[in-house]
Amino acid sequence: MLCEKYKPALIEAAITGAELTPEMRSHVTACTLCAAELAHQRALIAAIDITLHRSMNAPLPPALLQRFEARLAQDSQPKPTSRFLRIFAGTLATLAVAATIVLMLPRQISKIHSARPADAKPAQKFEVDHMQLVNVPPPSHEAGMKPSRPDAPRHATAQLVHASIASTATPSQPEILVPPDDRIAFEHFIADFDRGAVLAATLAKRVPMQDLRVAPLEVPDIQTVSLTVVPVGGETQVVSNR
Amino acid sequence: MQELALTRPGTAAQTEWTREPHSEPVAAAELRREFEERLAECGPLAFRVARGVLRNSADAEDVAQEAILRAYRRFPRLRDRGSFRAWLVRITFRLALDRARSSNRREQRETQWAQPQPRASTEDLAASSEFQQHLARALDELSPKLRLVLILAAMEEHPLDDVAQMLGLPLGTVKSRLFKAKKQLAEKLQCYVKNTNPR
Repeated sequence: MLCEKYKPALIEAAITGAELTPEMRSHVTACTLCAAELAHQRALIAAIDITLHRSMNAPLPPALLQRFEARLAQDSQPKPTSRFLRIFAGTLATLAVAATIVLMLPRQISKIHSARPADAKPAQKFEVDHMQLVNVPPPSHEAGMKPSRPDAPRHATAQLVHASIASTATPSQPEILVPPDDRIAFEHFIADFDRGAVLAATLAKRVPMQDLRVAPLEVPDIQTVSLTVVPVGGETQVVSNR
Repeated sequence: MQELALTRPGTAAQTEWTREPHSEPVAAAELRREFEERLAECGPLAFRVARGVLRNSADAEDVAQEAILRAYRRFPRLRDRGSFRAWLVRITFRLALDRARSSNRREQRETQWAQPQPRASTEDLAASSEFQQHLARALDELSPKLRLVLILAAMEEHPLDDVAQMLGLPLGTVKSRLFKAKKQLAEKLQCYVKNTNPR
């Protein structure tokens, strides 16, 4: 037990190779076990140093530098275009993300609609292209038509937007359904709008100016010779203006 | 581990051979020549660092070549060319560590640690292949910062102040790390010390 406290100092002295303190030196001189321990630790550290030194300073393989230079020559020149490659890769990644979003957005919207059946109103599909109703199918009774609700126009407007999004996507997307009354009303509105547009265009159209000379009006003489006046009472009386 | 300062892409160090097309070949050739000069000086060091980690000359050469290629590609962006040696050493050391981790050498070098050895002289101990294997395993278990200091300090041409300068560390830190590394190695190799337990 008396020597136990000296053991860390012995190991440290073996590692650093430093001289022992006077106290340690006197103890090691007196204690054969600690002297042997110090010798063993020094031998171990020396073996570690020798092994490390030997492995680290082993001779280099022949023609190592030549192989390095050859490998360097095999490799391409320093790449000044690496910056452009990074930009190109970034652009590609951005395009890929954008394409993914464009492809996935209609599906997500359809999922949202299918996940909320209370809001879905069975009706007919319509497609919208630049504010014109195109290819309106006839109302189908199989679709389970319902009378329009008071808030139907608002829904129709919202679904109009969805329909325009869906029309840009794949044709296999689910149909956008609107109440038939809304659809018919909207159809009439578009028709009136078209007529109104034609009328307005006609009125606004500039008419080319023409020469509006009126030809002299020729009125023939009134022929009263054969004029017959029939009295209301009975007999006929021929009147002459002569 | 201290990081060396690299300029950002597009800054002055890079533009010397990327901005002006007509001067690019000249600048690239000059750059190549400068790199080859440094390679002659630092190539063996990279190989030795890799071999110190991997203990295999073929693997070490592969890793050193890879490190040199990486250094070559990034060389125009190295702002402080004077620290090329330390930069290359770090690249090589990391690549060697990655290579060593990827290969399952630790499992292949499964050894028995608790086997007591008869008393042997220092030369006998150092020459023992079993001791070398145990030492290699103990080296693998050191932390990277202790390991790198130990490897560099074991090289003949690198005194401790040179190691400190290369790693950008104070000399006292290098000595402290070296002491810790050797102490850990000694603790793991105590089975080679004759059992002379103090009272």
